[in-house]
Amino acid sequence: VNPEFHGPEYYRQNGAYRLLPFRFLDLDESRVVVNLVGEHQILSRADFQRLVTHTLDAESAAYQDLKAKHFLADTDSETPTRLLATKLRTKYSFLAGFTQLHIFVVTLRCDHSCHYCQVSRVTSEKSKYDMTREAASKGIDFAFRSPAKHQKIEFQGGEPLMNFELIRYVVEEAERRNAARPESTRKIIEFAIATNLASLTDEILSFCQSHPICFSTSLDGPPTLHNTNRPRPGNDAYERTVEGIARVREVLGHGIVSAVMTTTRLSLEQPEAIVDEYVSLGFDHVFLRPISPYGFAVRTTQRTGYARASFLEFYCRALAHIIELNRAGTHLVEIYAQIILTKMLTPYATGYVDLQSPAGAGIGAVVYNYDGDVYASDEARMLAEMGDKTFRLGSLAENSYEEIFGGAVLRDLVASSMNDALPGCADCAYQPYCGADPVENHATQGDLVGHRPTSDFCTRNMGIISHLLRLYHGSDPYPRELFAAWTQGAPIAALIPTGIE
Amino acid sequence: MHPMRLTRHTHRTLQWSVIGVAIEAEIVIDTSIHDLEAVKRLCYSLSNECITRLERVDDTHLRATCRAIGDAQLAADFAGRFDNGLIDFGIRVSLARETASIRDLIFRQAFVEADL
Repeated sequence: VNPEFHGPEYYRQNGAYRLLPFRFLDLDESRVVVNLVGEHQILSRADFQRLVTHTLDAESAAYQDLKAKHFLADTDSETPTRLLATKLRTKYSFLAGFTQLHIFVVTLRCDHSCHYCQVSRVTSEKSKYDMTREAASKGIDFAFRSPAKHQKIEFQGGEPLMNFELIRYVVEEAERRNAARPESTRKIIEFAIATNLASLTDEILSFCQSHPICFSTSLDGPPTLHNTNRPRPGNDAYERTVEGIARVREVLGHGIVSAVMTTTRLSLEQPEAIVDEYVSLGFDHVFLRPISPYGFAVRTTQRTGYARASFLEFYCRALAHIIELNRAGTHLVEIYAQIILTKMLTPYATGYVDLQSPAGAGIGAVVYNYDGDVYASDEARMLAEMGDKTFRLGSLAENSYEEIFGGAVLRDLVASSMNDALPGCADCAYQPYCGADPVENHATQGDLVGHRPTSDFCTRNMGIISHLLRLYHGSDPYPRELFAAWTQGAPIAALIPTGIE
Repeated sequence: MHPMRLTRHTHRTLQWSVIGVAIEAEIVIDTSIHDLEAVKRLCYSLSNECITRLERVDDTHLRATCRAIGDAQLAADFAGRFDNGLIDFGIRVSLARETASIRDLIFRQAFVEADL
């Protein structure tokens, strides 16, 4: 034997392995183990017991799988730890893109009166609810101060198209300032308008033709459901949205407009119809989202709310339908599953701020409200509209970039959203796939850290992740193939419809 | 409803006297077997269904008094899940300790080489 190499017996000593960090949970009759970087393995209870007692047979398939995925190491080599460190760095790469999404609430005016609206809206006559140019200019300053090379500026409302002149100003001013910068420090800037499309005009479309602007709209499902959820004068919200989607596609291209849906109580019985609506309108994605515990959704709970188990049932039914559509040849991606599967099956970060640790509030996205106040997230400004300004980071008129992004409020948000160390999350195998939402914790439980055993966020995400794992490891091989395909497409951040109107 | 109790005969045995439907369970835990950290984490994980009071009985025993929240009753399998939970959370605590230094090394290595 070459003295520089160990003999085979060196590698075959049962029990001569060390464990690398991982967590575990029950998954039906098995146990799922997940390591620091999100790689997972399903084990029988017997193999799990052998693993943790260092008695797993080195010749067994489970041993080989666990070794390959860095759950155990049986040499003194530093390679496994170096590889895990590299993968961990990749998982946290989103931290390098500090505040990539800058949301400008250009107006609170809106012509819809949606039951679950994420922000309190006012009538379209109240122009005092428009953002000023001075505030918008300072917001652009902040976007350029953010270290991230890629910047997305998103316009929200109210209905942002009702103050299109300010959108035009921000787009042109941001492009002018970017062009004036030395080439090496220029940003790559994209723009998005979160709109119901009812106020879309030829002038707006013409402007968008010459700028990198995309559209995100709300589509809750078939006409009756959409129009019931989203009342407006004429009761034609669905018709206007569908017409707007067609016009955007015709002028700007098919992929320029994306859509998101909000699940209300009315949605629960028709997941298949909702999915079919997206297919019939030519979308290749659907984003199944629960109702948020903010804004009018809280005030109209009797009409729109539902038990947490109901959303899981809805989600699983819709996902089953999506899988069958794909099996039959219709390409359709469910975005939330895609985000989780990307965390589960690839080494990459997703850039999705709502399922991130530390939470994306402030460090991934920031909101400049119509009145110049700055909030850590869209949900934070929704709370503010309800009278709770806990997550107000400051004011565009009064505070510097350093005061807002280095202040106590943002530091508290980050410190309370590292799910590695949160009670409950620290013991949960799904921690690398999940995130933390201190704003929701505060809104629903009165505390930034929150209480996991009674958290809707926790119950919902654990249920969805377990369901995806069951499908991925089930007897039907098709979901496994489909899920793998979903994680191998375009960069995930580019596929996530941003915001809602 | 009259509060019934599930009561262990002794500290060491796993015998139970099941008397009707319970809204409260009193469980004595041998801390020479079960880590206190594991006990606390288990109690936290069950805090959606019961409120738990932990008391020291003697140098090697704790008493956990678990009372159902509100008007609810403890689930029929509560005691079994509590016992299994002690084992599982014990493994979690043990794994965390066993891998703490390497976990720390991985995080340090990941971020010291990061270009943030």
